[in-house]
Amino acid sequence: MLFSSALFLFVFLPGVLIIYYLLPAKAKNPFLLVASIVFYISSDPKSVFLLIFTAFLNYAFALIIARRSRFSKVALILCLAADFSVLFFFKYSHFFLSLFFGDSVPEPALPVGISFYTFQAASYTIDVYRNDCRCERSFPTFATYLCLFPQLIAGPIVRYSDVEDSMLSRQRGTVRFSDGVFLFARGLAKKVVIADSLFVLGVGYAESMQRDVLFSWLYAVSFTLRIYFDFSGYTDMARALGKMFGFEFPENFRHPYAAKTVSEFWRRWHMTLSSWFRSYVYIPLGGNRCSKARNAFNIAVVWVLTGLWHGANFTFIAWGALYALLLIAEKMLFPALRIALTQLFDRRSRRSFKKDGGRPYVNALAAGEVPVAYSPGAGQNGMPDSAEGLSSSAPVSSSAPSARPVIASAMLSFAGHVYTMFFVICGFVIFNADSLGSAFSTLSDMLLISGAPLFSTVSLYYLKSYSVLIAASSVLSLPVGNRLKRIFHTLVGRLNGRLPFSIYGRSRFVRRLASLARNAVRPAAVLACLMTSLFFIIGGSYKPFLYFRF
Amino acid sequence: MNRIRLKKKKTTSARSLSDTLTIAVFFLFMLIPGIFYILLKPPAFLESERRSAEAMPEISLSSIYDKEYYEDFESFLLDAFFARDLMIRGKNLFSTDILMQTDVDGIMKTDDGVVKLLMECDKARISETAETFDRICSEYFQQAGGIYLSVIPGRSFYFSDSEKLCFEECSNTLDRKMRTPHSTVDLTGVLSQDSYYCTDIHWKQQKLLPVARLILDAMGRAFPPTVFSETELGEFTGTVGSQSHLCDETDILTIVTSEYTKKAEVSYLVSGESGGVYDTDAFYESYDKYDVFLRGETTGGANNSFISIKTGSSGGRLIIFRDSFARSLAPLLLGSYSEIILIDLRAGSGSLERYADLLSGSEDTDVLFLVSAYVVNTTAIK
Repeated sequence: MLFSSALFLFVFLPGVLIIYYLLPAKAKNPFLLVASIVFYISSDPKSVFLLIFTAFLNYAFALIIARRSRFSKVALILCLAADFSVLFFFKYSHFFLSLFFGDSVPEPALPVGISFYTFQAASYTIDVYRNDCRCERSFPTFATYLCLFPQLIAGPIVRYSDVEDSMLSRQRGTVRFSDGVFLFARGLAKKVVIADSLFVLGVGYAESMQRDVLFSWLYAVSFTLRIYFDFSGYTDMARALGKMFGFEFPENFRHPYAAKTVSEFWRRWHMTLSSWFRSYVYIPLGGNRCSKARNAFNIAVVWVLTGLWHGANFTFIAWGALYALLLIAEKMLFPALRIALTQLFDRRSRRSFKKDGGRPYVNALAAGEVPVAYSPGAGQNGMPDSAEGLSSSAPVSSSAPSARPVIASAMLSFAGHVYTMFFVICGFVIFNADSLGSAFSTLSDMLLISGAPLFSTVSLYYLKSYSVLIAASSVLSLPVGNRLKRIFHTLVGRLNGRLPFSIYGRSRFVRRLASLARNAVRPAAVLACLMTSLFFIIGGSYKPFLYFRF
Repeated sequence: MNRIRLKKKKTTSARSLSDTLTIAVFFLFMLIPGIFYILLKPPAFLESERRSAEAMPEISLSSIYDKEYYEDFESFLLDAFFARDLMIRGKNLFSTDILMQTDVDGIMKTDDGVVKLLMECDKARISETAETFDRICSEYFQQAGGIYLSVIPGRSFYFSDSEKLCFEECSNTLDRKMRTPHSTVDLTGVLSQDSYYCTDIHWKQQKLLPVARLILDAMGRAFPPTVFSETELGEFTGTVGSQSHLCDETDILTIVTSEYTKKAEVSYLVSGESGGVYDTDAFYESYDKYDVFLRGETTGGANNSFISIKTGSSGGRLIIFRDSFARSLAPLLLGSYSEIILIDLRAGSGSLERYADLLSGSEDTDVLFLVSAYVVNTTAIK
């Protein structure tokens, strides 16, 4: 059952919400558990016992670990071995065995959401061992956390510490529910209106025999946009459902395509997965408080594992390895580049900005406004110990310095953006390919290596047909909403002072009208998103979420 | 202090109204379809899509275990949605008018209706078709009077240069790949945008006299000296128009009659039935109005892929390997042959053996492979 299916929207969700709010507080968790099991059965009935087994295994081992006896460590190791053995068997055994024995090795059916719930379960057990979260004594409560249907099959990866208080008592209220509705409507529209429309272009490319430079770029860009809208749309809906039931799930995306470095991209993309690898793999390996070589090794391990997490295929390994290389390169080269650019801008700034004391560019760099401002190492610029590209608590962007050299900074930002998006797009070509051969074939078309023609009537047709969708989704993938809001308020503020009358009006009628309009904005936006989504759901834009296969 | 408190209270109450409205919109969105599902009887047939609607599935342990129950239930909910056609129309209009997409599922909206696009030439499939044509020719028609090939352009040919190029690529590929010596008849010059229905994939029969004349000329046959008259059967929306939900236009179905169409005897060889060239009842009874011409591809489940028309004229036989387009053209060729045999290869060339005696080629037998670019590009003819 997908969140965008009619079954979920018109049968399951209203039924669950109504019953949930009618039940007394004590019965809410057991009811959510039952609803989650029903939800899981609708997606993968054959694997429901595996899910319950995973829940019980981690619950039981966590109880042993929580006794703080000499067996705690052994219990942790056994539990993690069991968790990851199950994951390995279902997800990777065929891949590795077929390397030695060919394709005759039978492939087990991949249980839906196994990567997500295994990582959640493992994080709980490790956190109990580390004393980072409370050990849950009630199995139904723990099972509710692990099986909670909003985040069960495609994340975000919620740690127990994120929701442990909510598991016992949850706040309710129209504000939280309304925020959830708004997020859900937005996520639904992202998935069914944008992602599914872009999917058609991908199908067109896959089915076409025409290969040219333009078509390959169209395909690559559309897939890059599609995977963002698909996955972030799903996450929005998951977080929204969490809000409706009184939970607060962590953010998973923060406008990743606005990033100006690959490291920044990974601080904005699939943040809960990055955070998981940072906490449970990268830092235990030594993080960046070690030699450069060891640090590079740690980064490589984390990113190859990140690639493998997405699937058992060489394409995912190559995708992870590409990011490992880029992140290592950024770590090694960017400090030197930063110094060089700082000196360069420092000289220019003295000429151009004498009034500012000659250091505005340095201020800009220090404020993280340009690519070279990326903090590459531990403790530098006050950044916490974190993996490059792995999610941290550091702010993604900061306010503009007062004397920012606009043009130079904008050019550098643009260059950083182009560099990042180039590799992100190429990375997603590898990610979405059936094999490395097909990925390299597409990449060689894109990069003019294969000698494919620049364009054809087919690619021109697709360009004409999808240009508005691609342009609109590109803009919507950037944080334009907040910027527009800022510009609007600034504009209104300025006009209000200069005009002979108040923009907001003096009469009570005008004020009431303005208030009514403000009140109507959110419901109207929700209605528009839901209705447009409904057109697409009933109209046949009904496709499985990309991340279900992970 | 009081003022600040009052302002805060006002802001809270304003937010509260907005939140309440938002939640109300959401619950209405979820619950209204449910109310309609309960109140309205689900449709058994979806007319606009020419298919049966999914029925409410019966629940069983095995169907749940196989995931069939949920999948069927989802299909049922989508098919039984109370404003399904309106929703599909909304989606398609959003795609074309807001996202400015050129087509929806290969169908493009035009000023006068809709047009199905060819999009791209599938050379592999066309090569397969050419191989099938060669095999048929070598097995049955080594003695035939003449072998002719004609690819019918779609309406899209007259709408864009890319479609024109695509058609030419399809047509040339088939011509080149077919090794059997044959003559090619190019129809593009005698057809125009107006030769096709605005809401259907097919051509209008009343516009086909120049096509019939061109084909007969190519075959060295004289166009019959007869009077053709047109009869309007009524308005209809073609399959492309109704499936796309993109247009409100309708077409008028007109049939062309002559002394030959009146006396022709049509035998449907698979079912053993017989009848006339036109089945006007089909206009009122069938969802596909084009079934008026030679009963369509199937009648009540009977296969109409082998048809013999005895014309009562003299002058040899014509065997047409065809798709649905030829059903409206054949009545215009009646006066030049004593018998016309129409064979729909989409049913498969394997069944040709059953009618081998009909197919024995001789000097007075002409063979015409008449296929539309849509069919040759999208259907495996084996």
